[in-house]
Amino acid sequence: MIDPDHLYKADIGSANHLFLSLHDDFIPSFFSFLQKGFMIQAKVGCSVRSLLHDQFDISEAYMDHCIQTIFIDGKPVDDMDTTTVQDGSTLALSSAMPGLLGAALRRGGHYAPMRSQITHEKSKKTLEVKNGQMMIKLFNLTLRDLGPLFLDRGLWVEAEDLRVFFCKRSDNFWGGCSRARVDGGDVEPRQLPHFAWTGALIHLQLKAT
Amino acid sequence: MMDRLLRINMSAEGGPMVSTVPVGVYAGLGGRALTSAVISSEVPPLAHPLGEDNKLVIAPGMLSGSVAAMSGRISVGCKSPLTGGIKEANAGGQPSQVLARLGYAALILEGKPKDGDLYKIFINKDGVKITPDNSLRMLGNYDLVEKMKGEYGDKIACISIGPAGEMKMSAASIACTDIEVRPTRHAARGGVGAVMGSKGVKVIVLDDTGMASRAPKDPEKFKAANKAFVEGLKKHSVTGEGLPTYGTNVLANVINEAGGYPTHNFLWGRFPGVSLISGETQAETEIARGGVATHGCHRGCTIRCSGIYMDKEGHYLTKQPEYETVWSHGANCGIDDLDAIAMMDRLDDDFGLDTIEMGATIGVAMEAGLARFGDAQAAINLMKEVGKGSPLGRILGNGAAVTGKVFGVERVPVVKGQALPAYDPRAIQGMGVTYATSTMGADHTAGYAVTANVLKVGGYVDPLKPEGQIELSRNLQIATAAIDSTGMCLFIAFAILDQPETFQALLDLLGSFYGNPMTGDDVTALGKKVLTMERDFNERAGFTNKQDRLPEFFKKEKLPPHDTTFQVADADLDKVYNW
Repeated sequence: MIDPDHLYKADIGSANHLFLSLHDDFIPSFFSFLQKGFMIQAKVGCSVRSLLHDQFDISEAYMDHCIQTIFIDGKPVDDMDTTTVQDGSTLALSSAMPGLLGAALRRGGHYAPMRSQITHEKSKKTLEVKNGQMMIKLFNLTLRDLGPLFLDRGLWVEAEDLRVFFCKRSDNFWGGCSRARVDGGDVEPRQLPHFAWTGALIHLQLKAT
Repeated sequence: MMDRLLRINMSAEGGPMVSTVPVGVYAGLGGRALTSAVISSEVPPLAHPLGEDNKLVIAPGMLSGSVAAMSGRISVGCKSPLTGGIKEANAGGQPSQVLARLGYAALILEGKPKDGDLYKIFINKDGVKITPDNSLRMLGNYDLVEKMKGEYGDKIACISIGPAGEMKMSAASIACTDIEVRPTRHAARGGVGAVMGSKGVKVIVLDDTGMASRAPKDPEKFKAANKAFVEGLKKHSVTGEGLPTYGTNVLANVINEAGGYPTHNFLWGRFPGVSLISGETQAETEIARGGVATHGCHRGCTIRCSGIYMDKEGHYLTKQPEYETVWSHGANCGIDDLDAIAMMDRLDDDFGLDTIEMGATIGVAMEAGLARFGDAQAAINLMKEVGKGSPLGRILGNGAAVTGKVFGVERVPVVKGQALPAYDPRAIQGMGVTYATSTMGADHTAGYAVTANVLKVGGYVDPLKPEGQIELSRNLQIATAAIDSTGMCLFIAFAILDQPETFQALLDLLGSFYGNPMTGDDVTALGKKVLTMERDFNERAGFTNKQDRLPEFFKKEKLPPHDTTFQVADADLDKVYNW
């Protein structure tokens, strides 16, 4: 599991920027990073709804109907409007889940009292809106629906994870990669498994072709 | 018609004796309601579970054998060798539909053979044929079913036990074949396979060739209700999209994020390797290898939450392992290798074992030092010991409680001797209430079903009241008992939970099929009746409120990351059955 503390301490400024153009059939192969968790920079100190809608351009309809389960730092959130995200938070998004537990974890659901001991409590003080960084995790249908948007926008992942990922790719995958650039310079995509990354993180940005 | 009981007395002089009798006092019951009614009224509560006085009741649901969607669950009831109390375990697959179309409300195995032979039972439209066949001894379920296909053709459905059932292990399951006639659907919990083994029955082969679907009393209303029911399932995000896309293991990431995913034998609430074994990764792996990520376990299933898992070479290995299986053999044992987990799922199905019980047992064994947490090969080797029936395997095959006792482990996650499923009750306290008080032992499905406030089961529950969790658990257990009696897959609950019109469609399905309009109150009454019978049996078997408790460590050991303990008071647990 990704260690948020480890990531937050990592220097985003020292991360290489990898831009990869590839056939959109291969975009889902990067979803493993998204369910494990990735770093982003954003304005923090705002509500979950504001973060998702105003900064990530996620529609109100999608938030209300599809993002049924939300966690901040592992605690289920019931109200997107009154719950604020802070610098260093981990925000996880999921659609509605099956089972009694799925129903219990759903935001504002009837069975929410079943997990009252771990429910995220509203912040008592007003937070300052400022630049910060946070971790996002996407699960199940949100992975499919929102994953490509975040990958297109760019996000930070652990360099070692990306190296291992590239080492496991097939010829078919590399055949679908049309262009790779690291820090603005062209790189042969098939050389990416052997690239000497400079930091613990990589800023990854994908372009579907 | 499904108006007959098929009783087979395995003790009869001269060999097993078949009698077909009217359903009688059990008329109108199906599934769990029927199995629990028979066990409650016909089995002496103090009978040895593996003795001749215990009975094994196999009952299709009230709507099984009709064209109603999702109606293919089959219930298996007996006195449990694992818990010592009443047991109902249910499964998907084809047998429920086939047995119902053959006209049997239940098949009841009684007595035990005096000759020590192993029997196969063949049932078709012409009757019942029981044959001793010792060549089947110690066959795995896969080879067994292949052999039955060779004898009876591939239009059959099988109900069978593997070596674990023959060895009368308390973790033994009963396998039901799926659409592809593979033994992948199991009535798994409570050692029902051991009871079938004690009856000397290896396999029941069903063939409904020449039999029509069960006809509803009001075909037009039934057709309309079924249409509305299916539409309700399809439009709901869980039953229409989430489950079909990722299967039940879609829960792994979410429960893990909530800190309620038991890891390393319930030591932690989060597993570092969850993304490697999640439903999302599983579905991607299945599709990449030429398997299937969206598949029904029986005809008439519209949710299709199952799949087919291929090995690295693209050959069939097992059906898509369920959430509980991936957890029990995965996170609970520190294993993040999907292929190893799928292999253990295959072994469970072949040997005829409950995946929850076996994963929990191996977790206890790992805690005892028999293997290292995370060592997938060691876990597979332990499974094979069970299949062989070695002395170690015999211990493991009798479940987590026995294994913990033999190896001196304190943290043994069982209630009434049955292993807890994949939700830690310290993170989700309400689940702990159901685990503790269920008549079945720790059972995640016992309080799984439908919302109290849609069903109006037991009145409106104020979730803000401190006793709300007791009421929620009570109402959920009542509702689940009722759903289990219909033969409907419990996963319909999600659509019913959110869509009152879909619940109404279910009531209309039942009402139009039997010609008696059904209301939410009728559902409540049925659920209460089932639980009352079960509770009464357990009390007569010697159970008291002392058995309605979670293991002590849940109250004492804090669960990271939320560092919570189980805090529902014993006095409150004792209120669950107050109605």
